[in-house]
Amino acid sequence: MNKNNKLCKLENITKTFPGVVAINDVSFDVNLGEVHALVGENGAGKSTLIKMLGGVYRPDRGAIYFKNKKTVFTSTCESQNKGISVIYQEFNLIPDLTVAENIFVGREPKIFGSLIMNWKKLNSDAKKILEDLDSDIDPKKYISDITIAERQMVEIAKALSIKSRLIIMDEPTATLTGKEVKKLFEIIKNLREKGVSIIYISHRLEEAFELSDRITVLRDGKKIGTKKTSDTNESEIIEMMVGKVVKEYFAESSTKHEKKEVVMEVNNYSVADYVDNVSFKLYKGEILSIAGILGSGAHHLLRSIYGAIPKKAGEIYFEGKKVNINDPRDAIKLGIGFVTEDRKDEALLYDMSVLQNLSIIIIKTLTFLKGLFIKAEKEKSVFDRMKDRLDIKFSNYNQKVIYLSGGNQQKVVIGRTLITNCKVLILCEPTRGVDVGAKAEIHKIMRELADRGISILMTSSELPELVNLSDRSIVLYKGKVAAEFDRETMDEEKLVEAQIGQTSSKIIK
Amino acid sequence: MVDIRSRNLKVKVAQQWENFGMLFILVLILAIFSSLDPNFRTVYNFISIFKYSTFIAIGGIGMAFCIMSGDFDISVGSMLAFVGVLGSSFIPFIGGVGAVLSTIVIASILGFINGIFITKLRIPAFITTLGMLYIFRALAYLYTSNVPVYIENKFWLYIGNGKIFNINFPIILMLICYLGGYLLLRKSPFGRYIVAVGTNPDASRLSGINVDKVRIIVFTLVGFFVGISSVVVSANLGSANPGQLGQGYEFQVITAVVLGGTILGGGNGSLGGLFVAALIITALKNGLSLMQVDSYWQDVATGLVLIFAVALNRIRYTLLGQRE
Amino acid sequence: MIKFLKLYERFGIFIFIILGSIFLAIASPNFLQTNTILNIIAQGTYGAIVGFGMTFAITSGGFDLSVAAVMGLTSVFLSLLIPVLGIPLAIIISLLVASSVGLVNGLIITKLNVNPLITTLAMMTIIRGVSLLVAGGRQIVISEKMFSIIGTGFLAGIPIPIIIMVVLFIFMFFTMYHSPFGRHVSAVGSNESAARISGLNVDLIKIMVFVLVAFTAGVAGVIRTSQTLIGIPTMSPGFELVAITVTILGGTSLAGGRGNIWGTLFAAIFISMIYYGLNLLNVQIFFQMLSVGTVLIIALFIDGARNRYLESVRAKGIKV
Repeated sequence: MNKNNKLCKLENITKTFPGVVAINDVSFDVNLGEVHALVGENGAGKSTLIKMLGGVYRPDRGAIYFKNKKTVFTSTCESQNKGISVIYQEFNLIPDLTVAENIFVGREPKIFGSLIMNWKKLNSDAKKILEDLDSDIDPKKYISDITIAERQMVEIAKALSIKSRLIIMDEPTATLTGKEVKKLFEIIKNLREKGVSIIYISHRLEEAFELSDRITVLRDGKKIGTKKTSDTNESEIIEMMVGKVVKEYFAESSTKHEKKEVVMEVNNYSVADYVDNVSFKLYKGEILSIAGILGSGAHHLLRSIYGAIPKKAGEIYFEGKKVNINDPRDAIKLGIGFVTEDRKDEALLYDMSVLQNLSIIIIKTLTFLKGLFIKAEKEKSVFDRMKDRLDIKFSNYNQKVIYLSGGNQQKVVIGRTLITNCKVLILCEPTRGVDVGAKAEIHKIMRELADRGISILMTSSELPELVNLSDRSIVLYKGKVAAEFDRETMDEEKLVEAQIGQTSSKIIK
Repeated sequence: MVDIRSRNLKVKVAQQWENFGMLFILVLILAIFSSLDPNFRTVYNFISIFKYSTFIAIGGIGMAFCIMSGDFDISVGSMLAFVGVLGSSFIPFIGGVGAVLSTIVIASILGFINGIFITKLRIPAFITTLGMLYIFRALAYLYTSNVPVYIENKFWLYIGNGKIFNINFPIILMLICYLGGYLLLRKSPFGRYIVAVGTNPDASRLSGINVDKVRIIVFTLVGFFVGISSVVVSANLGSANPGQLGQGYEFQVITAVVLGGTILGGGNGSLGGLFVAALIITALKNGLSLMQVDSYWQDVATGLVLIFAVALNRIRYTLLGQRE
Repeated sequence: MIKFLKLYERFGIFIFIILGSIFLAIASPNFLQTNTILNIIAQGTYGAIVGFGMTFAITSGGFDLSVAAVMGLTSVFLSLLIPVLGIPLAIIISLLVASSVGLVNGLIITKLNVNPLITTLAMMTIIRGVSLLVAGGRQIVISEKMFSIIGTGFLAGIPIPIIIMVVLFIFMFFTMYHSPFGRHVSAVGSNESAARISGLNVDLIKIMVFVLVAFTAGVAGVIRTSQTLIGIPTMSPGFELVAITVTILGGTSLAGGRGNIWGTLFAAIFISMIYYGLNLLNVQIFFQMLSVGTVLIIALFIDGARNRYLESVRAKGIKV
């Protein structure tokens, strides 16, 4: 392969954020007319990497070559003009603009000395692009009025309309139906024939194998390797993604607790748009995982049980009594703890110290004079106990939580909940954005908690975490229960199949 | 390597600035005016700067809480005028003590109403309080038919002019308010909640904090401190004028809070910084008017100080790497 | 209910206008005369003109409190420049001065990253100070009587301010809904980060919005000065409230993204009707301030209640 074949090349790219090295010395290239799959678990650094190509982030170190020229993308605009378009997972569409406007935003056809929009041409151009994609979305509709799958199509249409040389797709099939996925694959193959290069990011390995010419695996911000798709197989890639070492970190499940005592029972539970009539029982001292891909409703179910988002219908029985949880406060009172998947936006109190972050939920109980003043000594002693138990590392009590590493931040967030002596602990993505060592520690902590009789309800998009940690797993697909596994029947393959709606008959009840 | 060291230096400067920057500016301003104007560098003038700074400093406590919790209240100037004319008009009926207390209570209730509007209807605070700014002012005019209320009650006047052990009462009152504010912010669970809500409302909600309740109480506290300020200011002037009382007050108070190092948009702030900033603003005004600089220049100067203060906070925060 | 709410967002202001008209028609026998109606509309022109600018600001997710101060600045410059440069050039330069305030606002907001509310609050004080300094703290009488034609003249029986307003309305309408710039303003207000990632120059758009607001304030300042023939540095205190009220009452969402130019126009006329009604009652001028403030709170109340209702409907899984 000669050098001129390369459309884009990244050399020794490093990018750090406070507390984490997101990308560590990664080199990577894309050939002309190639579909290059980028795979890796959540937090492996895929999103950060493509954001640097898209001009959202600038690398701390390393160089990007595009069309054999060294390039620095300082803005998204610049990267688009050079011929790169990125379809992000969180769509970048503007709700108050129409479909056609979104496709051509910034490049609208104009008349009258480019003062007025040429609506006719705009809509017909948009219609044409959408028709090429076999989509019948009305270009005059507002984005806020179309479905998620339709929005995905609009994003693709937008990328095509720019006539990009390189299109980056981040999990494009997560929200599409089988028919739409097939159509998308056809489009991708067509693009490749026209010489357009594509970086394809997906959880679904079979998609990567069907589409790609080469596959690059990232793990923990590092590149593990690039393989020709024809020279490798799924199990090799999985091994590269997961890493052999990880296996031994998972603490063994103990069978101390007999599955007898039901702590919480959820009946016919629905959350608007996401969860449809789900029922399950949570036993004392077990780790139950609710598995599911993005959009399956797993996260929404757990958030709603905690009262963070409203439910549409359903009942919850807690320790045998019917309860009403409309707000996190209700859940905390009952003894339900919650750790969010979005540590940055929903958990950390940046401006506050480690100590204050840990004690925030129970601070009103550590007081004298009828709750008027905080007992500083008591707060410290409670903190110290939790610090020792979770092995939180920090420099002093007043250190702001933002300066901690990702793993220690996560421990603070878990500790904040544990300190309430909760009986049920809900964990969403318990190890997202933490390094391998901290990951193992958190897994160990989870197992210890379960052994002490705390029931854990968790969800994770990391397969090994699900398989090795949970005693039982319920898989949601499009808001409905698709399968249920216990420790004996669970394995990665079956879990993946169920998550993408391909369960044949293996619902074990 | 050099790169990192120079960054560390910058961070160190930013950190020290957080602690002593405002004090440095205050000393600088005092020194400049003292060298320019002999009338400025008198003990009497220094005491009067101290005394007048209480107007801003007391009202600033509530505003500091408000900005720390991520909100704003720009109705405080009009509120100060309205409760001033209303409360002082009660003097003949319920006496000085009763009138003072009712002024503070009414102001708290008005703050509470602001809070209810903002939280229960989820209307952004700035626009609700903008509406209230005009409503309170109009009510002050209408209640008095635009005739100032002259205050002759001794108790009321004492609050703005009295002395204990030769110390002006407003200064003592301010110290009490600061002690209270400090205890609330740093030693009570509620202070934690204020900062938590301002730093990250979503995280606060998930931690079981009743965010709406915290915000309502914060707006009530804004009213409470405005009530106290209203008594002090009107006592000092000897009258409550519906048109002039508290004109531009919201502006001075917000400037003081921001200059004092509290970040717009919520998060941890500093009451000490606020106190120093109130002194800075008062000294600046005092110095400029002693030097007979046009009062219009003073407006321009305060406006520039506010923009400068916000921009400075931004830069400091970026340097400390706490926000992107 | 949801349909009603959607209709309300677009046409709610007409309900207010109709109710107000019925009330005024009963209360005042003069109300239904052409002169009265033209007069009411003419009184509403400032609110409408500055409201157009404010509609752009709020649609972009911003806010401008400095408009009244800009009107005063324009007025002072007019009064000083007309004797020197003649009317047309004086108007042009005054409008340029007004627009440059918007440029400064926009630069501070985008480049120094200062919150729009604080920026324009500070600029309000600064500009008012500057106006007073330039004018030497006085009001300046304009002796050129010809200038009054802009504010008080008629063209084909219609007051010239109304004609200016209609021309600006047409311009603003096309700019908002049919020009790329207007659509980009919506985009920025609707989802700023998406607009940025889509390659729009968000800072430039915001700066232009603030220039536009200041320009409209300048135009209102010209008309007002022409009516009084006095350069008033502290012109129309509290006018920012009127501009913001007409924008929100007209149905422009505070959340940004959706501007309603029609609504702004009619909301301005509605406010003018309130003033007319208050004059009939012969009440103190302060009632005007009170009424505008109250209308703003009511408009916000409706906006808030609507959003809460829609939220609860969404949680039930009904598509909105």
